[in-house]
Amino acid sequence: MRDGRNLRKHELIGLRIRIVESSDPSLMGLSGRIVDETKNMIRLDVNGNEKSVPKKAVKLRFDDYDVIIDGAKIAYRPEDRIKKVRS
Amino acid sequence: MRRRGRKGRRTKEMVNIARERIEILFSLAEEEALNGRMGRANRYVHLARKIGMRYNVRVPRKYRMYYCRKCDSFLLPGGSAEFRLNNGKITVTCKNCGNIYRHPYTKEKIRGS
Repeated sequence: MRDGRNLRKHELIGLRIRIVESSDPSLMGLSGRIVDETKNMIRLDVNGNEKSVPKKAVKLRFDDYDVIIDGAKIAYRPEDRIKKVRS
Repeated sequence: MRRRGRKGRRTKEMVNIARERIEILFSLAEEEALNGRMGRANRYVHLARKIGMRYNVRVPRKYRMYYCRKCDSFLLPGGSAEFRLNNGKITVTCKNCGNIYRHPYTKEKIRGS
């Protein structure tokens, strides 16, 4: 099952996140639901608006799992993440 | 340094995660399709299929009839696809690419009877 330990290898689409650290101040504190994922970007649904967030620029907090993930560590294609991410 | 087994091996853990992710993506695709967001539904089917191909995992049986193998779109009965009963077969037409699937539903007739 999806839990805090295997979250980096697991499906991120559909989860609620909050951006807790970013090199871009305008992204700080943004929170929403992940609706799409590519190698370098995460697409967030923020109250009905879609926003693209570069993975390498942010740290994400998953409130449901109480985990913070460094976006740079999951910068792989979604199907590659299972194999490439080190847990 | 100790070697960690064969390189690039598929472990049981990977396959299990892949299976769970495919399941999650298809249920999300169904939800989005029912809310009329076909673009997202098709994208989730595409992602799920990519995971399945990479880790040699099949699409769960309950979703097997509800995606197009040709164009990766989610087939919603009465929406993006036409489901008809036709001569002992369920005929599914993808309205996106026009591909037709036929699933027989009568058992094979015993020869000579």
